[in-house]
Amino acid sequence: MRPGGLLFIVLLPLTAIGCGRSGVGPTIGDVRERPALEDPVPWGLTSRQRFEGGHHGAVAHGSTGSAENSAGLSWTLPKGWVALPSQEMRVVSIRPDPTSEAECYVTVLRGAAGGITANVNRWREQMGLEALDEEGVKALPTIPVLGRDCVLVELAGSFTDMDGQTEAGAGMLGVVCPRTSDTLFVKMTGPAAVVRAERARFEAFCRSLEEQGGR
Amino acid sequence: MRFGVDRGLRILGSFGLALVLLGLLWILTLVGTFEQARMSLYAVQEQIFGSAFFVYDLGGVPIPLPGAYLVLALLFVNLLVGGMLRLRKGSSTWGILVTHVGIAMLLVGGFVEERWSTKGRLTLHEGDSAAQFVSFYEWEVVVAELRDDDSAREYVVPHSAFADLGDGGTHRARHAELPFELVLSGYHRNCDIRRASGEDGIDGYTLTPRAPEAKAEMDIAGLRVDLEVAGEAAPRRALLWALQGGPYQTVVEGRRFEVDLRRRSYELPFRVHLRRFERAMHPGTGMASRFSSYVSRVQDGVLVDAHITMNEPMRHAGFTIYQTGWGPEGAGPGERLFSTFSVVENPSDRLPIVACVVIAVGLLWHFGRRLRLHLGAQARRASGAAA
Repeated sequence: MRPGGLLFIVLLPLTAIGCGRSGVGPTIGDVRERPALEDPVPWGLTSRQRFEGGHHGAVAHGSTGSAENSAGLSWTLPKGWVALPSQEMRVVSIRPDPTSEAECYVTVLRGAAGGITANVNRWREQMGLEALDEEGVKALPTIPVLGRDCVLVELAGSFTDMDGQTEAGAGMLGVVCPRTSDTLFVKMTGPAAVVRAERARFEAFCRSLEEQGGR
Repeated sequence: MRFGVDRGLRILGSFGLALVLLGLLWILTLVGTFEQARMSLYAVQEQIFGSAFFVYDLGGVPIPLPGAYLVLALLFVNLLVGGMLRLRKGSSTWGILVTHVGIAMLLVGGFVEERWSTKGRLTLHEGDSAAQFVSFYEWEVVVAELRDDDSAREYVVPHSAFADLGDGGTHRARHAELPFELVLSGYHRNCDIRRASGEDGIDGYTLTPRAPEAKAEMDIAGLRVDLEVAGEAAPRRALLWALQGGPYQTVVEGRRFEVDLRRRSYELPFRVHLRRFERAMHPGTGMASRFSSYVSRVQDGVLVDAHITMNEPMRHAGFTIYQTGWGPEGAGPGERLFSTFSVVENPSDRLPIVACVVIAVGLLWHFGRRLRLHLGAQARRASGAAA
């Protein structure tokens, strides 16, 4: 074989470096058929419902004592806690007392909603804290909620809400509860001292949650 | 000219170049290992092992380095020229030649895997079945036209179309059956959603980028999509976020459409049905000590039962399905469990073992021959001394 031909053959593998994995075309190539979903997404979702959850159509009723809603949940409010008027994305919103700066609420997201670790770290980031690895999340305490051992998070730091407003000296309690087809979140935020003082009642509220009809 | 080509081939096949390349591979392995402390495995693979060149930041000092992709390609050329084509052929070098062929097979196997393998995840609840799995790292934008029975025809824009749109670029996608064009922009590999007002937001929200997660499969992607409908002055704008509670929904010409961002999905040539999932827990903890899945595989009407455990994957039709996880985490007694599998389709799956056998044969031949020669020389020396 001539040296020129030999050189061509041996340098051929190097040309692969410049090749992309696939081309980017202006048209949509892949078209599939999808059967009807067992749990179809309701039509007419707003951006709030899409990005802040709770489109299971939950509407809480009752301001004290026991309550339940159309998300298939019921609960018992700890003594002194009051339910707030229903909000679009939440199963229920509660305050430890009518004048408290702290607020607790329950939301439900479809599927795994990113998983426990991602959500715990999202909360930690909201509080200005470093993310945990999976081992760190596994080491967090758990409490029984809806018959499962669910991760309980207690954080203190500077809380940045969805509007980008930051509040120093804040506290957060949170529970992530993965269910068969969705994930339930219970979250309390407010001044660190208030949130810390409410931890026992927060846990009691979480433990009181029950599924109606075995979701 | 011919002299130049000869010289080029001599350099390409030289032992010195082989040593330099092996040294670079050692450095890249070291750098890749250190970088995993601050980057995800996926990002390290992309930047250090899947690139031709990259700049390594050593305590603020930028050091340009060749990527492992380039180094391995050069090593393959070096092996081909120096270790195979220019090698003096004969019984004394036959073992070396075979060994080099084996190493070249390993490199080819790595190349094939990098280019043509697919990897992803399949999650099944007990009693459920599926014939597709989703990517760990790649996403796709899906436009679904809904029918009255909620079945849909889906039009898929692949990850490669928008993966590089983070720096202001746009990608236009269209299909003859769709009454609008999609313009994709503002892709973030990992991001969060925030409320935003006025020009900053789309329907009151904006995506804010986040640093990539330590594990790339934990990244939550997001991007902006504009639907340009013929006859409408302004596009319909929406944000897509991987953690959103539902797709963007809109009606065009009386037809219902959903636009969603989700993990890229791949079809399996068979259906996997999870009959039963079993786990054994460490006493007093919520941690599983071992877990396994009893599945049925259905293809062309033929059903085959299989048992997948942590170290015993199911191999079929070029796919390997490994047991990797389960859930829901903290599930109580009697709760319906799901099992998670890693799915790998790698055309060169078996090449490493074949290559190792070839290398072993080559080395055994070579060193066996050397041993035989050595023993022969010893025997001759001994007989010479005796005489």
